[in-house]
Amino acid sequence: MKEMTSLERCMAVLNGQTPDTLPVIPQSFMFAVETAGRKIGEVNRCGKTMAECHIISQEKYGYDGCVIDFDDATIAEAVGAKVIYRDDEPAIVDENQPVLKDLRDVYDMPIPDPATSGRLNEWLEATRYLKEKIGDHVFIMGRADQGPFSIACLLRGTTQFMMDLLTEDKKLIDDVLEYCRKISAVFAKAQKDAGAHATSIGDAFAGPNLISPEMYREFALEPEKRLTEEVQAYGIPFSIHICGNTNGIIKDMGTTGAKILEVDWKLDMEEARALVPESTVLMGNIDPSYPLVTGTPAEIDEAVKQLIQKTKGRSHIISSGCAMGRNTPEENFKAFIAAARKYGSYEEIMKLNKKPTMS
Amino acid sequence: MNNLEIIHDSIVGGKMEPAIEATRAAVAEGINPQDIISNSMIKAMEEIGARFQEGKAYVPELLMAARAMKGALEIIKPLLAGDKPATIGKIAIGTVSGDLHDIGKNLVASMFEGCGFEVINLGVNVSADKFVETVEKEKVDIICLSALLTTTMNYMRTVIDALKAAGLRDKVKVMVGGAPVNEKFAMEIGADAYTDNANSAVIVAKQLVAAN
Repeated sequence: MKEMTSLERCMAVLNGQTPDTLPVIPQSFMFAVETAGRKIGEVNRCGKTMAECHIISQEKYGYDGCVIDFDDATIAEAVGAKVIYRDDEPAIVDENQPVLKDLRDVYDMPIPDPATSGRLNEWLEATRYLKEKIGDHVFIMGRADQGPFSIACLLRGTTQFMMDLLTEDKKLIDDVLEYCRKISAVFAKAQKDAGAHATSIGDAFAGPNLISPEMYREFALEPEKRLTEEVQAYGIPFSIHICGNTNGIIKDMGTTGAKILEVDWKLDMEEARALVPESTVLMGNIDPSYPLVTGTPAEIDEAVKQLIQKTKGRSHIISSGCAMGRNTPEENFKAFIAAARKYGSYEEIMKLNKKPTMS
Repeated sequence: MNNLEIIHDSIVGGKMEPAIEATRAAVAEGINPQDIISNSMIKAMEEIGARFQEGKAYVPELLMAARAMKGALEIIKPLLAGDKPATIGKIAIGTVSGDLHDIGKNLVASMFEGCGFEVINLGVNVSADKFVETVEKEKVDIICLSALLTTTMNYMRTVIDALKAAGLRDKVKVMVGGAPVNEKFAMEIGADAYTDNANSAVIVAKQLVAAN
């Protein structure tokens, strides 16, 4: 098959076609910053510098897409959350000083302006700059920070919100989540305006590492679904990332209609492939800790091989299960991409999908 | 149902007010406070912990149970000699230097507490010096190290090395946990145990203390 550009490869998968080789879009913002010889604390207030880190890293390793990400604190910060900045690690929300001291405070909360609130514009600037510089051949996934349930956790304090779920009036919880859904949509749509090829949110707190699948369906699923509908109706493929173990909710995640689901290493990909619609792209799911940081190139090669066997390369973008550590060894990252090329080629995918013939 | 059973069931169900009420009633009945702790409260926390591990309870349920347990314990505490319940061991727990994530760590801490350990929660961003100092001064049986990043998990090794340098490594057991950590890593850095959830942390901690 004729060689495709990175962008063509990604678009082929989104369009339900088999690409020349499965695209690799690592969750690599921390790694990209490290590769560029920078510290996250130097770049997380400047979208252009962040974009330059991505360009250096993408050109060096030749992966197919860049995921815009700075930290998990930006959307909360844009509506008033206190954020702790550090030199070496991403900023985080100070949950000991919650914005929502009372859930009812949600009725007085602002809707952020992507151009002026907090650092939203820095994320958008990163998208614009990347789109302009490499977006003609590289896939730009403009993450819009957190999803509804996670935003609620960050604004209220996760521990308190977890207990609120069991003690507070359902209508009030739903109102809080609806507000969070709205501000998430504002940012996600702004990513389209900035030129992103797709946009995504992380809703990690809604996963079974914290709440039950029943609670996910009761509280988190509807807001995710409505967010997906609104953003995709605006004309951009939407992606939902929930890290940790999502075995119990992957089928539900498939019902959101999100074009892409970014899934973590604890998910059984063979089962997941069978549980979500054929047209839903699964993005994942190599463990960012072992093997990517602490394993060997040979172990990574084997992990990628097994991963592709599980999905048979169907609607699959190869990625790390969650954000890659900045201390991922260079040879490991190279092995990750090389393995994706080796086992994800058109020919290999055809072999995996060949129906057994009668003899 | 007698009061001890009501206390137990209220804690498992995460209902603080009924737990407190039944605790008051049990005390008024003349039941030994330490028995209330051992026979109702700790058993309740062990049960919710087991449910958590089996995927029948999740973080919200665990937090509510811990809250109910603490509420009931407040009634009992003033009645105990020395204001402290009898403990099965002393644990210091903290998220290591460079890392500020504390939800999982706090959950594990309250499970330890609920299951009868005395717990010193050192918070987040805890230096190796602080762990060493705590082992020295507080004579803890176990220290528990938490990290959520592939970068900060390496600091666990630093803590263990600092304990060795201070001549304290054989005086304390070291347990590690957190999303990027696994058994293999734990053994490589010289920890005594790795656990991947709050309930097995309690079970393993009990084994480590018993083996001492």
